[in-house]
Amino acid sequence: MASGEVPRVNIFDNTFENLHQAMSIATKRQEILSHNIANIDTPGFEPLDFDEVLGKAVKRAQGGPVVLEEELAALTENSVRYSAYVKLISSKINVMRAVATQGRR
Amino acid sequence: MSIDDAFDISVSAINAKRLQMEIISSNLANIDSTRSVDGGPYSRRVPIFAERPLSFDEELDRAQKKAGGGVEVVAVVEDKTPFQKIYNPGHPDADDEGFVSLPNVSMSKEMVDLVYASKIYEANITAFNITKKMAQDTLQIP
Repeated sequence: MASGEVPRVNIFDNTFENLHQAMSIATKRQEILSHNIANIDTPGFEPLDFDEVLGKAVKRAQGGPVVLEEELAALTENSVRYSAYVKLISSKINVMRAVATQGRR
Repeated sequence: MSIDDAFDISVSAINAKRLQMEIISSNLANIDSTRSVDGGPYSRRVPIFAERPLSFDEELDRAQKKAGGGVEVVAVVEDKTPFQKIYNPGHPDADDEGFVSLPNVSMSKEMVDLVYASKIYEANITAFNITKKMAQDTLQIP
């Protein structure tokens, strides 16, 4: 980019679409992790994972029982990531509002 | 599919564990009961947990809450471990040879089960609170 050139940014891009998709995935993952935690003590339970490619729950590949602490940590991380998406969407909306109102309220 | 589903899952586990703790309390309370409602000494009760499947094929299953994820207590069964017999001919419930059958409840086993159940109970409450934060964050979108 030559100096002095202003980058063209289209505020009507697919940010909303992408963030909404990311939030949906995080919500689904939250459900699956909660399910694993709920069934810690259930005999014969096979833990699940969320496969982003397939977009659904699949049985976890590597064996071994569910470790409660790991599952809770994953749940927390998922929740923090979701919060990040919320912040990004909020920023986007605020930017659009600033543009739409030309900085005036 | 929404955040509500994760709540339902955690709540199902909270309920199941709470029921387990009630059963353990009943076992401990009856550790000396030589007369149960069915006659004979009290039999230790054990909850049977089963996974409630996440997905469902029919709307009817969902309406009847047969799916939706989480866990449920499908049965409460009697432990078939034989009763302990103590020689005490003076006891009103002694049999012809003077033996009294005592409930098959072990204090130490029940206490270990109780500690474990309450740990899992708390873990699911923690999971519920984490999901609650996600839901609250969503409301912050301007």
